[in-house]
Amino acid sequence: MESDSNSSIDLNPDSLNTNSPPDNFKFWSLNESNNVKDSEHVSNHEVSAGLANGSLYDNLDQIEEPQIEKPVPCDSMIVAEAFEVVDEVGKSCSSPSSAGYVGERGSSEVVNGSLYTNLDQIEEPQTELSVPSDPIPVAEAFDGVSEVGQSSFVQRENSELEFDAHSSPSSSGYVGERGVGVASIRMRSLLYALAFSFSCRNGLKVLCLIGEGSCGPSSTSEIEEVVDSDADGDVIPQENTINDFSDSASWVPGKRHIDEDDASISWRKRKKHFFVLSHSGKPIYSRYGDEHKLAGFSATLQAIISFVENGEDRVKFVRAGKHLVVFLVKGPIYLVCISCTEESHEALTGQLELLYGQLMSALVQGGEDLYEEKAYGDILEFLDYLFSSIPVLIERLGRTRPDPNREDRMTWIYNNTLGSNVDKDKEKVGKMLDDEKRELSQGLKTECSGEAGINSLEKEIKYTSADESSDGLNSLSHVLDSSGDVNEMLLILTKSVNRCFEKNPKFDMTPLLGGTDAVFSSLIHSFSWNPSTFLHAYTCLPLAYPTRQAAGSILQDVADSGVLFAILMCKHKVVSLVGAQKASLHPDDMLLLANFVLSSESFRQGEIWFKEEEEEEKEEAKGGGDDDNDDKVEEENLRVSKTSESFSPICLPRYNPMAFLYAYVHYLDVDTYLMLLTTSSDAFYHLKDCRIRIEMVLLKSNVLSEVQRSILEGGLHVEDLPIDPSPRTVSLSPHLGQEKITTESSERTRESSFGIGGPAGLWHFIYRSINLDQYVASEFSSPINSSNQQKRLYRAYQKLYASMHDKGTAPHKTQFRRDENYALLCWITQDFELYAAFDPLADKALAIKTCNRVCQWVRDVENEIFLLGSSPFSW
Amino acid sequence: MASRRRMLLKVIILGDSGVGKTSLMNQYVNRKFSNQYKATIGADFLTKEVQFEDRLFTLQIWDTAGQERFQSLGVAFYRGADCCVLVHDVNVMKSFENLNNWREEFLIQASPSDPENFPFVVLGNKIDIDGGNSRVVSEKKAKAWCASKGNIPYFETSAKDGFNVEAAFQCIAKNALKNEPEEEIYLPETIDVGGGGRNQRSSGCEC
Repeated sequence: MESDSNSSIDLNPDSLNTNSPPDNFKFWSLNESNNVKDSEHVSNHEVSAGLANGSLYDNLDQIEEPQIEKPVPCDSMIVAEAFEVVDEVGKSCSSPSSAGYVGERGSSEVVNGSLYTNLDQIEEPQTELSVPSDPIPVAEAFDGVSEVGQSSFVQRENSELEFDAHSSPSSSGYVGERGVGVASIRMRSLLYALAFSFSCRNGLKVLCLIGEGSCGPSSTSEIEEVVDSDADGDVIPQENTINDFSDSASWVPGKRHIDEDDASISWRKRKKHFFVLSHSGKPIYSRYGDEHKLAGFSATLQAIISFVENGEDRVKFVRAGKHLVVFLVKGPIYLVCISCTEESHEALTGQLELLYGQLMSALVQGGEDLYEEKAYGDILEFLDYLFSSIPVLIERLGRTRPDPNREDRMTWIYNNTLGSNVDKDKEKVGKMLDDEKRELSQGLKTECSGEAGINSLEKEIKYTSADESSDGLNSLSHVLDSSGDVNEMLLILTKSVNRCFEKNPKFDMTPLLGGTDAVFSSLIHSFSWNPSTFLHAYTCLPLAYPTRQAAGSILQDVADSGVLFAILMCKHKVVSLVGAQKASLHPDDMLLLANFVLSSESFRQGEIWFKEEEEEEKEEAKGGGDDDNDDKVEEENLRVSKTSESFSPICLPRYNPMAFLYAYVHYLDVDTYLMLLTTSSDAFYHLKDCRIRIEMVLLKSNVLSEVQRSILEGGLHVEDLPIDPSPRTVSLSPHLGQEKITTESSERTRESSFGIGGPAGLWHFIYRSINLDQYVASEFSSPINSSNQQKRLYRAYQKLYASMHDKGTAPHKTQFRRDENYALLCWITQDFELYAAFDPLADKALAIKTCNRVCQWVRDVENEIFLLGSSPFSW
Repeated sequence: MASRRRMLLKVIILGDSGVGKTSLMNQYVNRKFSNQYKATIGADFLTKEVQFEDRLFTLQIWDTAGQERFQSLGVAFYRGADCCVLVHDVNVMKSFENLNNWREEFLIQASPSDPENFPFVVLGNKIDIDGGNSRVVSEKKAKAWCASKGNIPYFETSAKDGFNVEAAFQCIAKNALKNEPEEEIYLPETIDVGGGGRNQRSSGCEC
């Protein structure tokens, strides 16, 4: 495929041929003379690409002065390359026969070389048509295409290149137009490229510069950066700094670079873009930049997808130079990733699938943001919207209580939504009749269109403060502001969203997703650090076996009482997890769920306003008393609780994409949170009770303090790998057992931060238990310290994973691969997968030996690092 | 923050080749005009922010190719349009006569829910040419056609001078907006959660 670079892999012949005696271990033992074959074809395929492109990129991250660059292999200089369109059906696109393909590449090199040469000379590319480019070879490359339209197309390509390199927006003949030409040109070249790739039977005839502008918004090649540096001086180094920062450990959730659009150089240089759009080309989400400013860009994407769809085909991905443009169509929702990170299209598609899953799970969220959105718009409209939806809310909650007093109803909704209502009325609650609902909504509307109401609401909106005032509306806005329950208002799911689009293709989904940017950004961020995203497994917080058992048993109690799943998590790691009966939770769903909870401010910081229960009872006893008095009572009794509880509908796409569950989420401390999932919309109080029980038990049995301790101590450290594993006796990893050893080991860790990792140059490993759907990764230590190094290692693992699971080639059992960064060893059995990274100079025989020890070690401490036994995963 | 809360309106410009669709768009968005003719290939996209009655909107303008050989985009292109702009050259009778075809083509492809009331705007372009001496489509004639099609607003424009372009697009934005459905249409679209969830529970997860 793309990796026809000639750069060879630095395989150490000595280490390949070592003949040390095989290690013998009881279980799975990696015997180098028999099992480990350097899967050379795989290595060739993957690593060479890495050398040519990816590794250099990654190096760039590290290099302080990006001006200093390593010599780039010739191939990677090519920006525009032959086009590759892979279609699912494979009928019309059988055109790029491999032989012809290579031929095309050859010609594209020549052409582009000349283009670049020209570029370097151009100083002020203002007038498009006067570009001293060399269109003739390009035109020739368009074999047989000699229409006027074609040659103008070629010229435009040139002008675009010029545009890209110099950031002076001149294109399509309208000098000085901004943003516009970008989209149009892009459209032209892409559509053309697509059109040609579909129509030309003799192989691909299209040279398209989409690597630069059409679809490749981020920096594509070293060359380009050099050119840019020439033109713009400091811009590039700064850009790198920004990237470094945003990828660093101090990652802050939320969207960045909102001011960018597709005309910004910085935007185009981003390495990995994600877009979500509707099938009519309206933007829904973009990782970088403002969605509205990118409307032209998303229209382009839509046109590309639809163009192919028109031919009853489907575009899966497009490769353009170093950029890979991956498309995923999910009904009326289109997802696109544009990446130059060297990740495979399978990996990127997987990420898009996860993003789609998160989109579905997040759609039900966002009531809060609707509020915010409207706050900047039309207040009256907001109120209309709000109150027309309240009956739905009421119905959903199933806690309606007919009451002639409107004001009281409002208060009542408020109380309920805050989730501190006493249970005693619950029995009485029935479904409201339709007309009653209408009446209620009408009533609320009338009431709230009073000036005072609007004003105070406006005030609330502006300051979003917890400022009490004597107005029923005020409380309502509190509800909107802080309670997870308000999300009940927006219960949208795949099906209904699809229906919306069917009914009305103009449907604009952005308001529904307002404020969920953080959820998506955080997920996208996790694609570069969280192994769960490609391993499809989850990981546990290391805990002593009895501790985890204690947590598990109380969760089990709860699960038996009608909770579908009870999950206790600490950040991204599972403490314990229990599912009712046969229900099982897919690791992907857990990833999405955790990401959703962790990245949504409303779960974490939601300062919930509620009343002391006794007080509330008092107030309830009052019934429909004087409004003013009621409000005063409210005012007095409101207090802020830092430990928020939320009840939110959520969709678990792997569990059932067509329905959703209700998630009760409660933070037990800063990092630890409990999630109780149920199918019943009125289980809030039950779940609240469950939570109280669980919390008590957890406190009593010191689970929470153990969790905190485990966070501090971390998991497995490669430095602690037992030198001489004597199975079954030394079973505990040092820091999981006695405290004394713990201090020692942490000291050792500190010392070793100047060292070289674990024995035999072992730097890091991931062990994935296939039966448990769980993995354990060692803690990062020297020399994998910086987040960029960590990211690079993850990408290397990801590639390794992809190559081992490639369906095209025969299943691999082992792989040893060495490049300038690591020596990677992967070993897959029917029970586990081991991925280990060593010093690039590590001895192969020793590495194999070490891997055996790692496996033994993991097995010895599996009680502590994995969730075993009653897990719903053990089917 | 507020910028993310704007509404997005999709506007499609249709008309014969060479009537000045791209020029109109560029005049409107960039206030630029070029005498050079370049056929639009596939489509061009432009975005422009407009303020209308104290609200901010983003117009996503889809400039299409007039030449038939590029008209392979069909449904995909027209889907979800909020307003359709039909352009003809007042100096070319054929381009005016074709408006009917363009309109019908659009209604077939886009199949809007209420075709009778779908907002169109007709622009008669290039009124500047030859001081208006070469024009063959009279204002009266154009207006008559517009009236027969449900009172489509009609504007005479010059993309070159920028005459009436701003006014025309204001009208386009206004009409697109009028057509925007109420937002709460999706609210009743809740599904039977309990049932769905419970059913799922028995079938479990395939993983």
